[in-house]
Amino acid sequence: MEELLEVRHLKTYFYNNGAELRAADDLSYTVKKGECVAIIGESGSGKSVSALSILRLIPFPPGLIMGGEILFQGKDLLKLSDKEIQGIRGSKIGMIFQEPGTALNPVMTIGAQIMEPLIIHKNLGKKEAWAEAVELLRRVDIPNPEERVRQYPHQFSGGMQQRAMIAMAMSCNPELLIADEPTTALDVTVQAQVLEQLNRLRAESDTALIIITHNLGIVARYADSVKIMYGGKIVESGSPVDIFENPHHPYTLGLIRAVPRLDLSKDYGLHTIEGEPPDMSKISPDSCAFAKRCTYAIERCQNERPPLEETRPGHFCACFQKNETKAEREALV
Amino acid sequence: MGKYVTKRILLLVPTLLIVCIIVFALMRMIPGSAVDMIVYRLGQAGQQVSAADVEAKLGMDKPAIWQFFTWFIGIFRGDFGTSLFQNESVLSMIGRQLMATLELVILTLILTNVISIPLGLYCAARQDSISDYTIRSISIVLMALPVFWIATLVLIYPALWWQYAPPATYVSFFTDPIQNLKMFFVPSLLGALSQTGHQLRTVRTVTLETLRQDYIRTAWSKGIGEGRIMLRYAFRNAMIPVITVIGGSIPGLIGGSVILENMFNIPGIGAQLVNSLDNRDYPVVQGCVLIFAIIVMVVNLIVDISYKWIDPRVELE
Amino acid sequence: MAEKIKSTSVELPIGGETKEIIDERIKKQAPVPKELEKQILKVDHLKMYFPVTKGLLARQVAAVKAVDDVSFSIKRGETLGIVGESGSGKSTVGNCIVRNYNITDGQIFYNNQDLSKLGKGEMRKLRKEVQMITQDPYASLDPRMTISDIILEGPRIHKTVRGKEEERELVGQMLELVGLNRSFKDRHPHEFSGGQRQRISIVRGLALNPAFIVCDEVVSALDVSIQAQIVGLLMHIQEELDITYIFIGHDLSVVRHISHNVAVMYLGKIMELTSSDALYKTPLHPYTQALISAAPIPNPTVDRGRERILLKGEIPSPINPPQGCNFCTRCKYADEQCMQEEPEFLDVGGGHFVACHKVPGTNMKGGH
Repeated sequence: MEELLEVRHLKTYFYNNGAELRAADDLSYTVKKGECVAIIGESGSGKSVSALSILRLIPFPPGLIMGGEILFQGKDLLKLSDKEIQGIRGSKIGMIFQEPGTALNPVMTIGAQIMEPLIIHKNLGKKEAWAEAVELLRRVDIPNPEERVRQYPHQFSGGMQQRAMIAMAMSCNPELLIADEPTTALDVTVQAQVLEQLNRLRAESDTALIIITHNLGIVARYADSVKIMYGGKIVESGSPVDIFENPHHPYTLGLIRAVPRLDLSKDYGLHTIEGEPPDMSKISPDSCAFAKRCTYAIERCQNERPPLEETRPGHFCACFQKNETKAEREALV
Repeated sequence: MGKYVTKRILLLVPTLLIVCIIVFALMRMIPGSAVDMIVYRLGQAGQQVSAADVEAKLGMDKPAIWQFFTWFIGIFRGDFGTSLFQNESVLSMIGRQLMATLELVILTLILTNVISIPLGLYCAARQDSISDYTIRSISIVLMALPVFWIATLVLIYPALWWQYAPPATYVSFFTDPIQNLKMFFVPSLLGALSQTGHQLRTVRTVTLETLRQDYIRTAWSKGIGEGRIMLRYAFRNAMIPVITVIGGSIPGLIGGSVILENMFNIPGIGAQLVNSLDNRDYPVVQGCVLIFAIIVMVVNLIVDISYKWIDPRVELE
Repeated sequence: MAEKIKSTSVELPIGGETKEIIDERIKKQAPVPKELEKQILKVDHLKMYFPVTKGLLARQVAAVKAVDDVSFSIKRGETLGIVGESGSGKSTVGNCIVRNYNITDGQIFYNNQDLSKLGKGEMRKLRKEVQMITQDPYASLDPRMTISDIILEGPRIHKTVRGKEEERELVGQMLELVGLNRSFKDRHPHEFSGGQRQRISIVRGLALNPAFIVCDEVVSALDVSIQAQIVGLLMHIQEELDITYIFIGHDLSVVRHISHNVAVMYLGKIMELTSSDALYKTPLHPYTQALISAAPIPNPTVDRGRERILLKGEIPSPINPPQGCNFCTRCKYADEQCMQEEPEFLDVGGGHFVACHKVPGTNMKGGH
């Protein structure tokens, strides 16, 4: 079956005071129809940039997509004209962002904002679009949608704002939804509500979802496929079971062991990864970005960039030392 | 909303009182005995009066506080006093001239915004492009050049080259709009140019700030085109602070109209004020300044109310 | 010679000289009366209401009941975790304890001294012992001061160091304690990352040799791997210096890991208070159960097998909390009694406190 989205060798660089930051450095991954792909990374990993690049929302200056292909249903999005990509945004590919409070226009009603893509992409008249907006709010479980649709974003709570954004992004039944840290700014119980909603909606309409997050728990719960990013590159990718129960990359191992576990006794110690997330402008393209912090690093890691290799069917890892991590891997609970 | 407006209007009264006290006191502090000046001027105008007469007429023989309160109470009855030099009530004098000044101010405002807002938006949308630099340079030049200098050039050169001058007699807008506009167009344009420099840069800065907000990115992600984004997202949000600036510029426009009124022979309040100051025509001066103050307060009120109209987040108490 | 000191969570090398200083510090801390030696803090029916005013004359029309009758106690050297969502009042509790606010009602006993009865001079002395570290590593450090000045600010005011020599030593030791290079002392905050700045915040709090630190969302803004470093550091410091913590956060996993006991707050009240192990094994309050369910576990096999509890509705406003139990509007077990009567905060056995009418009841399920 043809992949819905194929990102091939994406290079998105940022230029700041003469320094070149490779936010996305030769990135390749695929998304199948209806699949939930989670991209995990910490700050400076380039995860948000990789998602924004798909819809060509990289601000220039300072950022620029330098190369690669993004094939959506066979067409390269990077080669489309401005008008053509506008036709895709909001209709075939929708996006929701991290802080719903600032991501919504404060001087437009919620209804007006939801109606926009309907009017632009599906040519609905104002009356029909309005009715559709009310229905969409109902679908995301916002009570009293007929009243709410006339209100402004500041009259909604954080969770409701995010659900309104989801309604907005899903309004034209997109094939793909990109969610950039959708619940980071929300309370825990609200987070759970919103994520359940999102998951239910996309299952109903068979929409693929790319979810970008730093929360390992969310990934474990919802993802069909996981990509771990570090320093602008994917360092490991596979199914959730592969990543959480059989990780090969030292960074993945470190990350999993650094998260406290609610279900285990407190003696399950937090293991730290020494050092700090990398300064993007100082990563050499000819070395492994994680080498400085890695306890398994050998000389080769400093001089060569490890390629992404398949260790088991569907499970890829970019590390020269991936077999050395066996002991640590097996010690995982 | 109604409650808010009523409350604000009621609050005008104490503010008005304070303004009146200040105006009254300042006037009395101007050096040079007013009475002597008046006797002198009236003598020149052919009227022989004695100082005592003037004092009685002015009520200056009575204590200052009495004078003040009579005047203040009179305001609420619509009686601003009578001019010392012309036998006309201050109110009707001001009324006549207010029209002309207001027209100048309104036309200047319209022209300023018609030029500065679209250009400001454009410069923000095309930040750091050549047109952006050019327009910004021109606006700096406009800010640097004094309006009276440009006005002088505008009066002299066209007269020299093309024998053209704007009409010098005032015709009310309602009597003959075309003729009226012919007279007001050039001074309004000049006033607008002097304001545009500053306002364009403000619009640009505020719009740039607005364009950096998250909701702009959301708008792009929905497939909305640049035009609509500038209009429905950037413009509406950027206007909130811009309205404040416009509101703040109005008092300056009214006061600054003096120069243009003088040069283009417009019978407005500015010119009137200067004349009356010269003559120490207390009632007229007091009346003018008071009207200015009232206009400023009303403009402020309108600006505050307009916030609520533009920005739904605003809660007017 | 560096010797590695093993703690339950993390290994940090500590230089020989620093260990001496640590021992000295423990000796220097304020003496405690023999009885109740273990209890360092007791909070009794704490209430903090913020008035809501309207109109020109600022009439009070309502009150935000940020903290509404909260009681707990902490033993020396332990950590009490306070977890809750927005409007729970957890940060306000922290601020009340360090006396950033004038409390509306209730009492706070520190080392058996009633804080509200202290005079200005005594309060000042107390500030050396009770410190607070907050969330935002970017806003809480003055960008115009050097690291050295930031760390020395407290000691200079309280005159705990004299002379340039002592100052330099203190700064050096402090930086080493949190794993930062001594040479950083002359730099400015903006030259450091979020994690490093948080370490500097921690060290600023430690510079006065406090016995008690309130940590208000100190790791919330940090990356996962850095969170682990800071949590490990805090736990290590607690072991070495016998410091008591109140750890406030919204991430149950993190709070539970660092704490001996956990209080779950909702809308200004404590819903449940128990040891951190019991909290996960036998959560009794429906809100706690919902919180636990909402926190996904980073293991797909484990997590996808758990029961999902989804709360309906939104958190009510703290100006107008529900009449009976604060949680009744969203609780699936709520009945008439819950809507009318506020439940009492009771010990249901072994120091496990709950405020719920439905516990202990036969139709309440504990666990997950």
